[in-house]
Amino acid sequence: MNERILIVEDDPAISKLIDTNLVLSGYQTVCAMEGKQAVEAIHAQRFDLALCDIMLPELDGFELLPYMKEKGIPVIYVSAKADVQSRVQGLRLGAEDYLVKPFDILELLVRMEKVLARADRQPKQLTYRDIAVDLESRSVTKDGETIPLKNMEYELLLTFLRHPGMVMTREDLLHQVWGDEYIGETRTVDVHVAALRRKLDLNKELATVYKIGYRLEMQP
Amino acid sequence: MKLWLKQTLITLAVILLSVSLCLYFFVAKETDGLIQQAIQNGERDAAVFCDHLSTLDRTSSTSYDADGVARQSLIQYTFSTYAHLLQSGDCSWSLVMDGRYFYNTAVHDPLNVLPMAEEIITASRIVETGGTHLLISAQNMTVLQTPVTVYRTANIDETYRHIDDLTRMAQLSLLGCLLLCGVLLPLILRKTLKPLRKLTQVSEKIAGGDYGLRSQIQTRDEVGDLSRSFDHMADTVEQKISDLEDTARRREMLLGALTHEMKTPMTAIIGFSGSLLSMPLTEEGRLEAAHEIHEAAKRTERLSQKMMQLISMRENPVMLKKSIDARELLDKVCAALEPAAKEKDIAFKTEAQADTLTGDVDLLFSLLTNLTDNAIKASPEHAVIRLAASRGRNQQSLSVIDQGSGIPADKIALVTEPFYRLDKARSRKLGGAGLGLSLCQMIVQAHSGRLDIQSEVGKGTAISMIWPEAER
Repeated sequence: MNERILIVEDDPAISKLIDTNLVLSGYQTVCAMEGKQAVEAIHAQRFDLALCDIMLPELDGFELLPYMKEKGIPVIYVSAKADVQSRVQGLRLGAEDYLVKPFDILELLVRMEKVLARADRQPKQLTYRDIAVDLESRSVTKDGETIPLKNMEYELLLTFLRHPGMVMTREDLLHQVWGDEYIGETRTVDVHVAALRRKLDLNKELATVYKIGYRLEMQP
Repeated sequence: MKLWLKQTLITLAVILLSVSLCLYFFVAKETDGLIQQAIQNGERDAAVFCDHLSTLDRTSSTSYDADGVARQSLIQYTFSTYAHLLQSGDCSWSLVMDGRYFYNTAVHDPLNVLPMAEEIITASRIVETGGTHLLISAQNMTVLQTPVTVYRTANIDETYRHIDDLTRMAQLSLLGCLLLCGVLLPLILRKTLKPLRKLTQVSEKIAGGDYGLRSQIQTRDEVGDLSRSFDHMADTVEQKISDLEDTARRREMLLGALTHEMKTPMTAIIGFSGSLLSMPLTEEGRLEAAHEIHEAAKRTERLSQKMMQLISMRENPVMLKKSIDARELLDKVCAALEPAAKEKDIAFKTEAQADTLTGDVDLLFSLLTNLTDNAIKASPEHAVIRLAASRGRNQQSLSVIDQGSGIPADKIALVTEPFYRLDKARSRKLGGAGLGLSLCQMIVQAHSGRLDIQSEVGKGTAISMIWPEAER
């Protein structure tokens, strides 16, 4: 993973927050503090995705969109404006997604992955040690041997593989894998994690973080 | 029932009653008069007839003394001569002696209808038979020592026709009067009540939410008075409603702005704490995240402090008006902001042209601190900020004058709006919440004063609070 992400955000703290997390997740980032700086950046370099605030000095997020489109850069708005009108305006102008502040890091990362996948800028295969996942055929092999996984086990595995080293709470996982509509107990997560550990022999790597959740250890 | 209909019916009933009473008494009196006159005529005629008959006493006083039958014959003869002479279409005569007729041309039997006792001289009676009215007048007299009764029977249908005409005319005038009133009264009443209908329509529309509507009825009567006080009420209600709406809108805006302002530090707190929790941060990264959380939390705290101040000022402006030592106030402000000024090597210059000021010392201190804090932020290094207190005739002022970046002319009106920041990025970096001048504005309002902002971009800003000495 070495997709290039442009972060357009005028608040230094938020800019740093997004930057730190994206770098840790393996992205290459460039930060712009205001609209004009962002326009200069996209003319100078290639980007796979832009995260844009809406209320920016000089050139605002909505005004930036045509420049991004011209360069074929998909845009996700990250804004404090939670009203429906702004969301609709953002999406209608052609943004790929709209994330309201404050947000969870995992949610931002997952939404980015979805947009990148749609733009065909995601790898077709994920590997972790001797485990390989083919994203197109949705097949999982370990040491060349195909391991049959249930649908939710597969989605859960993908979430872990995409964010190695990141601690994920049971609520995060429920929300991301099972979706907002799913009303279930966090026990469901435990059951599926146990299944993954057993089927893929990940007892050590898929670690329990006491009182919080789970983490897939980073590859050495 | 509608008012106009009710009033019409009541008025009609009163008119009907009074007019018919008047007409009744008039007709009754006229009828009485006509009948009395007929009776008098009858009695007079009878008396004249009797006078004629009594001439017998003078012409033949002695010759019939003895013979009663002869006397009766003479009387009968004389009577018939006169009666024949005086007989006409509607009048006939009868002679009664000893209780029997000696002469009678009447179709009627007057003796039976009006028997005359001897002691009675004259009498009259009206009888009605077969649709005709007969007036019977009788007179007792003595002629040739013989007591006789003379009856006069007259047809007085003419009089009764007259009375009938009179009654019919009275009835007709009553009917005409009723018709006229019945048509005119509703018209007049409806016209009189028209403003009331308009008032009803207007009040219904106002109740429906059209608060700007007025009845505007310009008559000089009670309805006009009602309309005017109604319009006055509508004015007051409209004003109150618009005030309330204004307050609600301002509060909503403030709340919306606050929520929005809270989002940035909240995003930092949630984001960085999330990173600390779940991301494999380096030691340096962990410290950085902790620092950012700390900063954002402090910013939130400052924001809530300012909000609390603002809300308590707005809801409950407690004022302690006292005489304040102006120099001491300015010095206190300078001392409080000395550390911030030192960082940029900014010098304060205080000018107290007045010894004392009248106002709330805490609020004025808060105002000056906010203004001076803004001035420090706007000023370049090594600049001078002047703080001045002065008093003129019945008004006093506090000013903060800097040589900073200034405010563009079109933004001066906006700077007192809550959360408005001239330079968003810089102001946040400097820890501002965008509430300082809003608070100042409220302090000024609590003193019934005004905030005067003079500014030129690149040259500096002079902000003064000018307020009256005493509450008017």
